Amino acid sequence: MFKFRKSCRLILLMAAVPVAPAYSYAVTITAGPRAIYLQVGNGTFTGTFNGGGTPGTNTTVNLVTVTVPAAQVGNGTAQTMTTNSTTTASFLDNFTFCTVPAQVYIGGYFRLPGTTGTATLTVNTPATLTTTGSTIPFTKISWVSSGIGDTGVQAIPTGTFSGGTQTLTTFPVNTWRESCHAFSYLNDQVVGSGTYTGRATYTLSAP
Amino acid sequence: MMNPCRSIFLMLMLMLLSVSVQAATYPVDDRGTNVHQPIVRTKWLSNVPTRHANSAITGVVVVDVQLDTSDWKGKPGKIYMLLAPASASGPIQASWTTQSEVLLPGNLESGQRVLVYDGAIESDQLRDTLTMTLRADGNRVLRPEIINFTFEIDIP
Repeated sequence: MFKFRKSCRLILLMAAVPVAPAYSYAVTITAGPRAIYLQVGNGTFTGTFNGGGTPGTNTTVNLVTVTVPAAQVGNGTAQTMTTNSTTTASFLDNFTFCTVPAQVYIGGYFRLPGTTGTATLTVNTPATLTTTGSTIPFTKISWVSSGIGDTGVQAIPTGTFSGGTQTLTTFPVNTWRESCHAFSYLNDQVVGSGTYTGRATYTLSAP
Repeated sequence: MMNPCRSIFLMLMLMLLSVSVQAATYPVDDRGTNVHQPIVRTKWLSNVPTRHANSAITGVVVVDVQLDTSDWKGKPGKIYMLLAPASASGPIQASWTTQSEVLLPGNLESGQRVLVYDGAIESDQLRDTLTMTLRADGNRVLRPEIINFTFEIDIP
């Protein structure tokens, strides 16, 4: 009886031997990097978006101006503004989309890993355009949105500056959005002579 | 009449003996393997996310592979590298070149295995450096993804 027990213990030990260990080495890959591109006026892009091009950096701050003839100051006739932006072609596909000097090109995209999410396009303006001793409310400047060949609703719609931060539109993920904005000054108040300036800053922000 | 316990013991011994000489697949100890910068920063294959563009992301990693082959020294064998099955982040593709040409260059996808050595095992260790390019669907990899590689050997 003693021998039987001893042998069975040995059997149990032998039966437990052939257990294969597991080995592996591991690598961790990160998600694809996020990217965002916004162009207001002149921009830089190598190639086109549809052609898989590469966005660049352009620090130009374009101007939109109008000189109101003295005889028309404050007469309520809106004054068309012009720009020094030279951008007519879209970096989406190199199509001639805007006209200059009447329109300012605004477009861009954002990219996230995944297929959901939106980016928000806002513009910030001060309350007024200023010159020495006098101001004009920024709310006196509006824009009409269009694009050559476009027939539907504009991606970045027509509007008026609010004199603060305002949301213009949202961009769906991984999609190019663009419009051409033609600005005008309302010209419905008499103001003193001078050069009134103010800066509108456009921001495209993504989560 | 033979003790029944002794009979079981003999049967098990015979089974173990037969296993050791049969063709079989064994995991290979790769604990000596070193991954240079195991967190691989990826980049998009296409700079911009057009509808027609590929949404793939790629990254490169260098791996110093060291396999303990001492158990099979003197025997012919085929060694395979395996990539773990795909997760919710989708399949991963790996392709590599080898520096010393001890192991074979190749490529494989999640859930597959591919031959990296075919021949007699002549040393206790096999060493080579793999420069590996990993590729995945950037629209599915939303957070860091751990990818496990293993090796196994077929002994004829």
